[in-house]
Amino acid sequence: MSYVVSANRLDDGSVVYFTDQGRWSNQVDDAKIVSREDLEETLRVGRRSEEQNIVVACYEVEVGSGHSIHPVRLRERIRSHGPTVGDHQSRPAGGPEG
Amino acid sequence: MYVYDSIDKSLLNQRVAEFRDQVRRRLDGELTEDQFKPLRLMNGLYLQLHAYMLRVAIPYGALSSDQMRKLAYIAETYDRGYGHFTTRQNIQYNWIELSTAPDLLYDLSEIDLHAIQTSGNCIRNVTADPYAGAAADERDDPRVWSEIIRQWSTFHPEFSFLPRKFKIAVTGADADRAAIKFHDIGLKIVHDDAGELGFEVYVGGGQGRTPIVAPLINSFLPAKDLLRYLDAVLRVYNRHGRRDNIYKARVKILVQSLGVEAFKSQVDAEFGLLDPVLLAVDDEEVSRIREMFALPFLRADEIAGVRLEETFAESPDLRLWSESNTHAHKTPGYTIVTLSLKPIGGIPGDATAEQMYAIADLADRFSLGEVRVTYTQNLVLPHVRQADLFVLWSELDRLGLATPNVGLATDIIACPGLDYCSLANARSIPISQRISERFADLESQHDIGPLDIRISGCINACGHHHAGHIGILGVDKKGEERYQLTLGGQGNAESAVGKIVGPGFDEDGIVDAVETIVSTYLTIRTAGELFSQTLERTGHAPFKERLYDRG
Repeated sequence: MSYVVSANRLDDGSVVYFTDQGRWSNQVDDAKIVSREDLEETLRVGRRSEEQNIVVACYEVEVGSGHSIHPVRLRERIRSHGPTVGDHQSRPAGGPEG
Repeated sequence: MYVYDSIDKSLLNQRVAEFRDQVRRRLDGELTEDQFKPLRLMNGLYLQLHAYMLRVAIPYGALSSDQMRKLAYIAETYDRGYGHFTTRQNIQYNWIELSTAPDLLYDLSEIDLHAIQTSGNCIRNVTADPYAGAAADERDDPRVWSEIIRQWSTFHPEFSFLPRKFKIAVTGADADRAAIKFHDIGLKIVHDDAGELGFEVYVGGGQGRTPIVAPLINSFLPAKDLLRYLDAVLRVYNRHGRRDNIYKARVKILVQSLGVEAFKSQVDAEFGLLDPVLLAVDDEEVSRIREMFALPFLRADEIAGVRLEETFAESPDLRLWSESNTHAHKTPGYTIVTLSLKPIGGIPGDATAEQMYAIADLADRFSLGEVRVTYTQNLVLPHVRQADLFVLWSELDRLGLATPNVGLATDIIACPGLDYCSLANARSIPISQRISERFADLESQHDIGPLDIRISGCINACGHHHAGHIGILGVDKKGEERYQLTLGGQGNAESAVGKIVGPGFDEDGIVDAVETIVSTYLTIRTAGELFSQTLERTGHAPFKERLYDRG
C-alpha cells in the first residue's frame, strides 16, 4: 500500500499535499508517495508544518498505483480534484509551496 | 425589518474586532489550532473538505434588499461567485480564506449581518416561518418572538458551553412552515380561551442519528413568560445533558431518557426558581420590536384576483408557475412569491452573486425591499402585488429563478454532501440533479402533486431526509456510495419520521427507485389523493413490491 500526506493550508484553507522537497503543493500529483513503513516518519515531518503554523489537520491518504496519484477513497479523490458537480469545479491555482 | 440599535451594533463591532485579533494570533502562532478552533466555530467558520466554509446567520430567514446585496458582494469578493442557502435559513460560502475572514466579517457587520453562533455548542440561529408577516393563515408574526429569542440567546453567558448545539424554530400559524417539531425547541404561537397570546412549546425534536418528533411539554405558555421558560429548559439541558458522548448529547436524548413528564417537571421546577421580573418579556419592548416589522399600508385590491385570471388565460405558463410558487397573502391583491433555487438539474439552494444582486433589485421593486429564506432552500418575496405578478415572473424566468416546482418532485432538499462536507459519507447533490432531470417534465410534476424528496449525505441529516415523503440517506458501504430509501416522513404540522423501505441502492438504482415509487403512487392513488395520503392508506407494501420485485 502507498500513501501521501495531506493537510489544509492554515491561511487559506486550501487542500495541500506534502512533496518530495518537503514543501506543500495544491496538486496531488506533486505529492511524495511513501510506503506504510515510511508513513510515520513522513507524517512526523509533515506535522512540523503544523507547529510552524503553515498547515493544519495533517493526515495520511491511501493511494493506488498508476501514472498519476489516485486516492483510493472517493472522499479523497473529491478532495484532491474538487467537487464533482455543476460549475463550481475550479481548483485554487498553485504549485509546490512551503 | 428589525433595525439594530446601539447595543446590537456595539456587540457586533466588538465581536468583529475580537475575531480579527484572534485570527492574527492564530496566524502568528500565538494560538494553537486546538485553542483557536472553538473560537473559529463560534464565528461560524468551519474547516471543510476543500477550504474554510463560513456560515452567515440570517435571523429567522429575513433579509433586506441591502443585506442581500451584501451577501452577493461577499460571494464575488471572498468566494467563487455563489452562495448556498441552507436548511436553517442561513447562507454558506464554501471557499473562504482564514486570512481574509476578518475583513469579510467586517463587511457583513456594516449591514448588520454576522456569523455569530452559527456553529458550536450554543444556541444557533432561530428559524421561523418564511411567510411571517404576510401569510393569510398567521395568528401572529413569528419574527417578533424570534427577534426576542435572538437577543436573549446571543452571547448568553450561561449557554455558551452547552453539551451540544441547540436549535429553536417558531411558527405563527397552524401550518408549520418551519418544521418546529424537528427542533430542540419548537414554538407555535397560539391564543388561549381568553384570547391571550402564548405558545405551545415542543422540546426534544430533531433528525440526525436519532430522529424524533418533539413532544409537547407546555400547551400554553403565556408570552410574557417566554424567556423565563426557555431559560428553564436550557438550564435543565445544560445541567443534565450528556457531555461524554457526542452522539447522545442533544436535548432530545435527555427528554427521552428522563421521560417527557419528568423532563417537564424539571423545567417547571427550574421555571419556579427563576426571577419572574428579570426575565419577563416587556410589553414595551415587544411593541418596539413589533413596530419594526409592521407593514406600511397596503391597499387591498379585491378584484386583483379576477384580473389575474384574465392574465392566466393569456399565459398558461404564468398560471402553472403561480399554482406552485405563490401563496395567499393576508391582504387581498397581494401574494407571497417563492423563488425556486431548484432549477432542473441544478444544485439545490445555490444562487450566484448575479442572481443575488438581481433578487435584491426585485425585492425593492416588488416586495417592499424584503426577501426571506426558506428551510427548504428557496427564497421568498413576501409582499408582491398580484398586478405585478406577470412582470416579476418574466424577470425571474430570465434569471433562472422561476422553475414552477415549489413543493413538487424537483423541489428537492439536499445537503452539500460529500462534494463539500467533511462529515459526509456519500454525495447528495449529483443524486438530486439526476432525480431532478428524471422528473423534469413540469406538467407531470404538477400532476404528481406535492412531493417532498430530501437527500442527506450522512446520518447527520442536514438534508432533512427523515422528514421527506421520500427520504434518501447516503452511506459508505465498503468504500462505495450506497443510498437508503425511506418513505412517509413529513416536515409540516403532521411531522413524521420516514421508515426505511428495504435494501439500499447504488447511485443509478436510487434514481430508478424514486421513479418506481412515484409511478407506483400514480398507479394506485385514488382521485385527488396526494402522495402522502396514498402512502398512509396503503403502507409500504405496494411500493416495496415494485421496488424489490425480482420477477
